[in-house]
Amino acid sequence: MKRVQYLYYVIPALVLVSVVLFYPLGYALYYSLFSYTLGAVPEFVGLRNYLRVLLDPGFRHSLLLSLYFTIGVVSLQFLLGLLLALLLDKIAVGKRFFSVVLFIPVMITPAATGLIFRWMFVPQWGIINQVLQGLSIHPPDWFSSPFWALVSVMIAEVWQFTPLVAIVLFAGLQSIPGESLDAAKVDGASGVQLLWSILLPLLRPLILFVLVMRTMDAWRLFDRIFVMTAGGPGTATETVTLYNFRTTFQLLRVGEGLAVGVWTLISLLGVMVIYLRLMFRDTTAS
Amino acid sequence: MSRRFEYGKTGLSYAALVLFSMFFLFPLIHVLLISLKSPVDAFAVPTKWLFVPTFEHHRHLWLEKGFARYLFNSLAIGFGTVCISVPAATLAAYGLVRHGGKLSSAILFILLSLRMFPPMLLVIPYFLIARQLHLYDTRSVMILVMVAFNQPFAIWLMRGFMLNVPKELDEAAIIDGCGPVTLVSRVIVPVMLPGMVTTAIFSFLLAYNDYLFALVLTGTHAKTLPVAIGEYGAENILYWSLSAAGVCGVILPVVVIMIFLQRGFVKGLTAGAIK
Repeated sequence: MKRVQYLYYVIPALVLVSVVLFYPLGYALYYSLFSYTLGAVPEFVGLRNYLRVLLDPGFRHSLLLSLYFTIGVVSLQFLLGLLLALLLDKIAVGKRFFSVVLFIPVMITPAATGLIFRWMFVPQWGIINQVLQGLSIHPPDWFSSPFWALVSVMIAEVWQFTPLVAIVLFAGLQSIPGESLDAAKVDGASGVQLLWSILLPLLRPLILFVLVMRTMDAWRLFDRIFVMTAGGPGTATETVTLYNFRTTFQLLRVGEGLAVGVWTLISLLGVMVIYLRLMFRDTTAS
Repeated sequence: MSRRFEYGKTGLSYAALVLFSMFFLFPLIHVLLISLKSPVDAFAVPTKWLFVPTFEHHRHLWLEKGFARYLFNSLAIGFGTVCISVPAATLAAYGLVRHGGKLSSAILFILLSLRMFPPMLLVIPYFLIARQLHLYDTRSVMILVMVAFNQPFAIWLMRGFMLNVPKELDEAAIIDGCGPVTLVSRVIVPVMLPGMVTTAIFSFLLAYNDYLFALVLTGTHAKTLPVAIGEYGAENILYWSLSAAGVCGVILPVVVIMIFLQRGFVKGLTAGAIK
């Protein structure tokens, strides 16, 4: 069989991807150049939608919120996930049991976890405020304070996807040969030193992989926030995706909504480029 | 294998893991309990942990409110996605790994960058195109969209498994005169089966867990369970127990899959990153 012939096997997948991803992408790019309100005749306006969106304080507010949300959530997920991975690596019996138990939240429908957390944060009957009161802490009014509403959606995101980070890092820890640790132990390195100078450098590719996955998903998160707060109170939890949804499907400004989507794509490309550069540095250094 | 460095007692690690497990499982147990409480118990402060369970909410929701139909839609879209996604991804992974040239690297890279597409950008054209083609509110359009969105991840996942299959295996089969169809059905599928199962589960979950596409692309006919419970929960706090029953229904298939899955999910998930 000639080498090129192997590519025939790729055709079904490529056709699917082209028809269902590339064609709509072209459609989206094309109509992002139009002033297009649903139900009206589209009118060509060039790049005006892109500018208009950038000048909209609502959009800039949502970008800032997404930034806070993503940075806060991803760093917490990484720290907690690393701690969990080290704990799983440390124990002798039950690694498998705890990995399976911990992985359950990751697989559950985000819209469903949004509902669960909305009930848990409800002021009067919510279990979280009952616990806080039991500990004599005055509970905040989660969904009427802009700050605490953002905190509540962040807690839900940390709850759902910290185990993913933990399990991926745990798999990495398990693949590190024991000898490289033993040698350092003989040299009298402490636990923290081992972690900092041996484990983390060895895990670097996996850490980068999981961080970029989490960053992109947090940046694009829609369903759980939409179900929990719908962007409220006011626009206190309206991240870029929720802003995009409101522009398109509630204000029916399709052209501007598409422009917001393209800005999102560009920002994700930026994240990807940073990630690739870090990976590249990784391979040239070693 | 307790060969790791010492940072505290092992007993402490177990205690910490048990606490973490409780933290990660608590919301799910909480929602199960709410779904079994009578309205009086559900709104009791402080929360009642001992109560007479009632299955009234489950019965009402699944049998009288038509949620069984939404569950059917969700499952049908999930299985439909698996049936198209997994074969296409298996073939593609086989072709890309065996070709192994610059062109296939380029395709793999393009696929990887597709994974970061914001769904919100594409859901707008989908909505407009689906309405033009009279595909709005059908399960077919949902399956098509989920398959395409899942392809990049599925191909990368299958590629991780394919890399472990020795080249000699299928080359020998070709020399023995295997045609493309027998090659795939007799050689490739049997060795790739574990990978295909993992890919099938992740593809199913991606489709089953979707909310945004179903919210925009379906109406009354093809509405999925996540969208239905999202709407229902939003209406009134008095429906608390009822929509909790719905949430339990969403979660149950996932937990069942999880129990069957257990081994190998991490392997598959990280294979693409390491290699």
